[in-house]
Amino acid sequence: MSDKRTAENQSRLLLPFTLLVLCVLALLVTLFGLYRTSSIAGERVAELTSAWQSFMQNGVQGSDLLATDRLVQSAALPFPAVESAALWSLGMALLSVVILAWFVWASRADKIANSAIIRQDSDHDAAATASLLDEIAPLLSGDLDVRATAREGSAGALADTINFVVDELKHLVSSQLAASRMLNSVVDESQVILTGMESLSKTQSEQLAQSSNTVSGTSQSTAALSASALDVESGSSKIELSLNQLIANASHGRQSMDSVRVDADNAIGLVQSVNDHARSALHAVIRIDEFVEHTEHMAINATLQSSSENARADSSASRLATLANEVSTLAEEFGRSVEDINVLMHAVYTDTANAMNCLRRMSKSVSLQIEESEKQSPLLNAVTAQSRLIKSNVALIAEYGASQNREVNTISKSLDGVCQTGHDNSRAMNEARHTLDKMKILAAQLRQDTSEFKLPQRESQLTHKPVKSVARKAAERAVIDG
Amino acid sequence: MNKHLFFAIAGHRYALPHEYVKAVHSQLSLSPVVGTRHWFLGLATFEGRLIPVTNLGSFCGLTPSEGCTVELDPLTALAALKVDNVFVSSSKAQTHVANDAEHGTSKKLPTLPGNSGGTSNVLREFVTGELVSDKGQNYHVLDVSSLVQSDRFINIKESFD
Repeated sequence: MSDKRTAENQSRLLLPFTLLVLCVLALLVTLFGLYRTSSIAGERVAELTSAWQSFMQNGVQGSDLLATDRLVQSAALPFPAVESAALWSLGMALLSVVILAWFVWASRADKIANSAIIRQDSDHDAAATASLLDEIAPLLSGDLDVRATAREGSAGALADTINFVVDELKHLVSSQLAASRMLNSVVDESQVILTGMESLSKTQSEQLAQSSNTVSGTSQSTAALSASALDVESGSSKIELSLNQLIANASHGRQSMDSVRVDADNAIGLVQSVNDHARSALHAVIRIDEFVEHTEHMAINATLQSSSENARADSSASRLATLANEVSTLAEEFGRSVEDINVLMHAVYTDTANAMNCLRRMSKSVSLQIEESEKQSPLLNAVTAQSRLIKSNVALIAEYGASQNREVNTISKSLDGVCQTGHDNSRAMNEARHTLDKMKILAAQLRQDTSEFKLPQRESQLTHKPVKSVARKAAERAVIDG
Repeated sequence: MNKHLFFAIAGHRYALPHEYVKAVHSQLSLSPVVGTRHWFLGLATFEGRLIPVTNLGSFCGLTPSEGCTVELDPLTALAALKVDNVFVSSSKAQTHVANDAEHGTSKKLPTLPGNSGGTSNVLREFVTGELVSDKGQNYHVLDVSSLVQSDRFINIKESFD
């Protein structure tokens, strides 16, 4: 209402103000015209003066007179305009003074009216403020269900503000209550989750410890594998050397066996020759034996002859018998010797035959061994190649083992880091538990604090669907608008 | 004291008095006679004499003899015995009568290698019962007269029984 009155007062001041402004503008225009005409008149006078001086110095000529006449005429022309402008200026100045007086008077009247209005409004506002204070008195006890009903004046503005603040406070309390409940539930859930995480962390720590132990065992196994691979590589090198030595020995043995075979062949030839000689000797012995037998028979026959002659008591027969006995004895001795020689030659023949068979078997065996050795030579070469391949593979295994060992060490370090992280997580979870306990205490405190406020019944709805305040909507709009 | 000629057949040792022996032959050229027994080797000729030769080992049912041939004195019999070996008795040979243990197969006589001792069953009835000891060996004295006059020795015709 006061605004309306103020507007009316301002509209009353508008006319004199407008007229004052117009008058001032008109005054300025007339002053400008006065100035302009006076300056033109001054210029004309100056031109005329200069022409006059020229007359005075140089004399008067016809043309100069015509020009001077035109100058005189033109100098006279501005003066009426100057007079008119002066009159107008004067009039405008007077009119401006009059309008200014009117404006001043109107302003004083308006100020007096405004003071009255303000005084009236102030009284009204005081009453409204008292009513407003009575209305918001329950707010002191935390009742947020209060509502300021003032609509006019500063009390109305204050009521709007209070209502807005109460709404915001209500919203804030509701939100805080909901937030505290949500915080409480979140803290409960977080505690459950934290408990689960602690259990999982514990399990993870145990599994990590087992994994670390396993990795350590793997590292040791890998190290042992690498060491074994190195040993195998060393063994392969020794085997390769042994195989090379074996190949050389086999080659040398083959050469030796070739020599043995040649010697055996020579020995066979020699033994064969001995056997042939023994056979020839045996035949000779047989012939000698036959000769001895024949001699014995001759001796026997001589003995028989001497026996028949002895019967006739002949002395020559007696000598013949004695000679036959001696021949028989010699033949018998010779026969035993021949028999011994025969036995020995049989033994020599048998032994040489056996020796020859042995040498042939030995030669055959040596030939077989040479063939086997020749067959084994490519096998030994293949075994050597395989040994080299095994050696290279074992070296690769050792290298891979060393690399794997390094990787396992890296994994072990990573596991240690993970274990350390697990311990840190455990400590962080403990701290989080403490923080959650504090948050729970805070939520309880918030709930206790907000429980002192009396919220309207639709507070429960606010819990589920938060009400956006005007300020928040404005803020969101501002955010949306950019 | 009679001198003896010792001989052996299949390891059995026998002695013949010198008066029953004409000669000993190492090799004789034999002519087989068809239709005779297997132990009758055939006829041999030596210095114009025709000599029937009997393999004494085969005759006794022993291993056939492979040695020399003992030609008997013609006054005893016109025959020759093929034996394995012959030996001449030394001057130290002694003759004595064999007792019952020494007579026959019960007497374990020294034998040549590979042959059994004692007398053969066939010749058991043609020994005199005397033994000649010479150089540690005992020899049964063969009664060659009885042998050459026996029907078994005379009958050389081959039998198909």
